[in-house]
Amino acid sequence: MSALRPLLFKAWCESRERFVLGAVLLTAICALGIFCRGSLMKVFLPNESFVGDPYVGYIYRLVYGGPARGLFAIMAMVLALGGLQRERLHRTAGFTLALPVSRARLAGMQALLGLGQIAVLSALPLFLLTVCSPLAQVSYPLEQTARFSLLWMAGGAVFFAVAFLASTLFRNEYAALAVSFVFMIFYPIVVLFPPLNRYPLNVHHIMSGLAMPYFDARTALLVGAPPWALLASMAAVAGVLIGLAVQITKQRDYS
Amino acid sequence: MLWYKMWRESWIRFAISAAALLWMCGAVVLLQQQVRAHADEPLSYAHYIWSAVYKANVLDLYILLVIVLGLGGMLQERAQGTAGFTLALPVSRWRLIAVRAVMGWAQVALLALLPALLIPLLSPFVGEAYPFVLALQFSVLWAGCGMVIFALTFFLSSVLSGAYSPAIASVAGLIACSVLAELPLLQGHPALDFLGTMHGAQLSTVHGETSLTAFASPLPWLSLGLYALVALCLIGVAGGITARRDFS
Repeated sequence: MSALRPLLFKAWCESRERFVLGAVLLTAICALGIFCRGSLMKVFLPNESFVGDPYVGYIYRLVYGGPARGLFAIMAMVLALGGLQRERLHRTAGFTLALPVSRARLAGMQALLGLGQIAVLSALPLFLLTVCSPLAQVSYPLEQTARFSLLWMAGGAVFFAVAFLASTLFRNEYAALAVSFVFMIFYPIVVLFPPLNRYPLNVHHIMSGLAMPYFDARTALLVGAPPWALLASMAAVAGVLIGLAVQITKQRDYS
Repeated sequence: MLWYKMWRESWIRFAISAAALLWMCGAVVLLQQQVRAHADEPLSYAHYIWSAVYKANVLDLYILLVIVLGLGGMLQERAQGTAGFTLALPVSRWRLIAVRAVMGWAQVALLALLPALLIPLLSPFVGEAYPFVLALQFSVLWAGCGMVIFALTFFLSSVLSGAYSPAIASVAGLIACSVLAELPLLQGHPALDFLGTMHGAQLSTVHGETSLTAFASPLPWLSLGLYALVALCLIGVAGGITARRDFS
């Protein structure tokens, strides 16, 4: 327990620049979206038949189903990069491995902090939409933001876990990033084909609700009960991938 | 020697990018029958290739991979403790920057060329044809715009010290660009629609057009020239910053 805080602090120091940058950009998208909605609404919700609340539809297309979600997915992957492979490149792996803690704990703390950062980032739109919307004389349902945050957190955890595993597999620090990006684009295409297309496997769609039974595209609102089974499955997949990465870290030679 | 150094630093990224692009393009061509059969409305082969490769998934992948190619540089070398060795080489910092930029641009152009080589070659195997000239037009657009994306990441890599922060900033910059280009105020300036240019919005009325001849309009050379200028400026600023910075 005593090693927990220093390890978390070490992981924080290594990733804070990426996290802060991501948080600032996500905040900028949400804040600009709310306060400059006069111009941006014409871009994201052009004159078309949208039966629901225009502001809700606009926020969905800008944030939960649009550029902000894409940026969030990329950030989830970028936050996972680093670790002992990168430290070996920087010739600091020896110092880290000399710490009186197990490798499993080192990697576990990095994963824990990353997942915490993803939780914060996924809750950011919730906070911003709740606080800023009334300032702009509009409102977005709190319950919807909370449910989307939950979907983002689960989807973000999967993307994080994929990149986390890639960063333990590849020596080159940018190769892991390239492979993660390839996964992010290639994987949704693979699940379009049978027999995979019978199951809700597209994490992008799960996060945005697109083509999912728990999302009503006409009103851009999440409906019914949250997809707990799907969320639990995604958490399990993320857990397995992170577990695998930890096992690889335990066995690898970093000399 | 300098060229070899730059190649060694980026070849893994380039190889992964090339393999991924070839794989994606191959999958798009070979699976064309299944995808077109499930499409909401009938799609010609040319339109299918445009929607799957030049407008959507493969284009997104290309953009992300170009961003990855732009990462690195002296700030990263400082973090790895190798900046001293590189700076001790008997070449100026400007030359270091120039060689890295040219190597990157060459890789970006080669990546852009891959779909043009693979798609016309694979198409006859699925009983279709895709003209090489048409594919080459899109490659020119990708290469021209890819150079700006590369230069943007290159510039951000010389400003932001984190290894991956320039990637996030570049993605954010491109998102901002695409949103700004859609604003009514800027809609009269197609050159500012960077991503639109990249997927051929200025080539022809691609939407709803099924004839191959519709694609064969002249390339937007003015926009491409403007992008080349922007790319050169970004590399120039990155060079200026690197030349003055203390890497000790």
